[in-house]
Amino acid sequence: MKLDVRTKLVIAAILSTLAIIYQNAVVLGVVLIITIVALALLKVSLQSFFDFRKLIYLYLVLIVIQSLFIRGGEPLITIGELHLLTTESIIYGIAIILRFLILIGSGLILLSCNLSEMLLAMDRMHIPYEIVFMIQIGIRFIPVLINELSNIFDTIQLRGVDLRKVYKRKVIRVYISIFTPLIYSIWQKAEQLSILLELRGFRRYPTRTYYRTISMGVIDYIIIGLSLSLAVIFVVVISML
Amino acid sequence: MIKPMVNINLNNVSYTYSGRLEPAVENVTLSLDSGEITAITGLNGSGKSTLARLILGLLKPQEGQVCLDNRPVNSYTLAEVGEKIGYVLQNPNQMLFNTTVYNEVAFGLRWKGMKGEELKARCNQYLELFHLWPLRNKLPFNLSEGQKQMVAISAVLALEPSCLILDEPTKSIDTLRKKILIRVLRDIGCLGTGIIVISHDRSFVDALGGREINMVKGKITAYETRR
Amino acid sequence: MKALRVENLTYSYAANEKPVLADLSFSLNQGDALGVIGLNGSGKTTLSFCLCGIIPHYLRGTMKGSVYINGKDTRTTPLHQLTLEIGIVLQDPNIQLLMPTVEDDLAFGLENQNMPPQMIGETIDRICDLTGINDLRKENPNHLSGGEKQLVALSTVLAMNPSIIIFDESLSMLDDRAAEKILAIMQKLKETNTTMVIIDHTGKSRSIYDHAFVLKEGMIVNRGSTEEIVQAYFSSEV
Repeated sequence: MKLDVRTKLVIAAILSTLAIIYQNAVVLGVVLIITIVALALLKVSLQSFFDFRKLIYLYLVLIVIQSLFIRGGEPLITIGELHLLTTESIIYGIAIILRFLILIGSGLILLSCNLSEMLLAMDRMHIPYEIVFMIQIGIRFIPVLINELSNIFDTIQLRGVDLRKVYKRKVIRVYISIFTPLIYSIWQKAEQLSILLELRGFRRYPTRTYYRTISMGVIDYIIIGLSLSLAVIFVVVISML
Repeated sequence: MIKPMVNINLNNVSYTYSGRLEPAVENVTLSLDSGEITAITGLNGSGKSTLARLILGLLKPQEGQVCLDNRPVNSYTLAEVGEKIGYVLQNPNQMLFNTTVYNEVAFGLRWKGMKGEELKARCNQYLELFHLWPLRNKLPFNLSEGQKQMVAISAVLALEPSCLILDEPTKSIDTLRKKILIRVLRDIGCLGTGIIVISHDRSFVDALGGREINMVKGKITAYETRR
Repeated sequence: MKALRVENLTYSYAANEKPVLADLSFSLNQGDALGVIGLNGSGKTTLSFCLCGIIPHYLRGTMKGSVYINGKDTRTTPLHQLTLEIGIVLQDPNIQLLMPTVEDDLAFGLENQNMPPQMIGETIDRICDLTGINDLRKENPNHLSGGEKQLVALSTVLAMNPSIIIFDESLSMLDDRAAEKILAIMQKLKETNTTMVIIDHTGKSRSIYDHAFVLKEGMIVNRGSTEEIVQAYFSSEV
């Protein structure tokens, strides 16, 4: 079953909205389970979740820091007056982790979409082609520019500029030096790009065709309807508890 | 002119880019001394540039160790590495920071605190090397790609590093400039500067002489000494 | 009718500067392959811009003389119509690839021409077979090697189905193996009667030329059969 990219957008939007509006760890836990089920149904690989293992220590530190400030709950570990760990802060910390995981989950849904189809979907939503195209070019060239900037940083240091030892009055001069090649590169790319676009007939006619097609099937409408109504039921049930 | 020697040592170095399965550089053990000309050859994507970036400490190997003068390269700051090893990128546009060719060559020297007549003499010397003197007041970005490459090389050479790494220097230069470059590299090689060129340009590597290291899929497959 | 005809072409970027191209005249029959050899700064890239209409349509400057592509005067024919006759492959493929996947990139120019999707699909299939990039179709151009990028850039030009193709130093960034792939495609194009102008300072593509000339300071200094020119030029320089 291949779902339309718009259906996936709706599901991701619902899940991330739920993650943001609730703070209760139990509710967020339920939403996370729903997210995992949705990911499994959409056949998105759960592998990326495991890449965030390394952050666990960071969360533990966060929980301890919160314990210092959140008053309430039973103190579990104390040094004198200082509460190092309280039940309240553990629950709060868990809620934050759950929320984060849900947001990653909906991000994974978006990442599983084909970028070209997503841009086409934006076009179908009557976003002007120029804007869609700008986003496309941005996605294409931002990694290239980041790579160039890091090369520039490396070579300027290898040319003898120790960025950590630069005196305050020279900082501006160094940054002007760093941005000179970057700005030149952007300017040069923009110029070449406009020539190339001209050569490939960009915006030559008021309309254009699309090689790719996206279409909403019956199943898409059913799933969107179902997800929206489930979301409403979920919100209502939670508010009554 | 006697230059301090630098010794580069790679011990069983492997590096894999994040998100890739196959290592870009695998189990490389290598020792390079200044005063040698070494060409690293191989097809695009065989790990030549990655090896250079490992030597400079721009990438940190997952396995093995890179040492400069018996100290791990990561214990130096980049500016300290730059004192020992000069590095010229494939794309000269990413290393032109100034508004004139003269200032470009003077840039690193000024940061080191060189001034007055000494600075002027040094810059002139290295501008002359590649026949750049007539272009000294031009904006580097307005030059042709081949000329930019020459400016970038002379700016790095002016700092008189013990070793020079050039990444695909012949990419956009024509046969005439190639000849000049070969002559200069051989000359400074004779004066004791170590030279490492990364290149897939056969005629250039052959004309340069020295040692050749061939890489295939991240591994060194052949050492060869000529002349 | 000549496929490409250049008459007394003179060009300078600014009015009072020394001309980059000085009084060039030459013509090509359909199916000819011309080699243009010269040092950096001899005017090769400027010539390629004149041949495909970027000059005078896009870059300002002073152009005298005229260029005819399949009988059409580049000064009076709009650039987007010229691109249906003539295509250009640049030295650096990075800038030539714009879309998130190779397939979308091939489709881009055709979509702008309002070609129906089914025909676009057929064209992409045909081009991918010709250049041998079927396995790269779903790839992101950022993740390709230099040689693969150049193959894709060439494919995007071929997709527009031009009868004349200009190669502006297209081989100089590639290693021997990648260059050979492009050369093999040039050979195929030659067999299908495509006119080619190949600008080159490395001499890698000399086997393709039917004839060649040497450009020096914007002037043709030596023209004739490939063998004479290439021999004379490369033996004197290296």
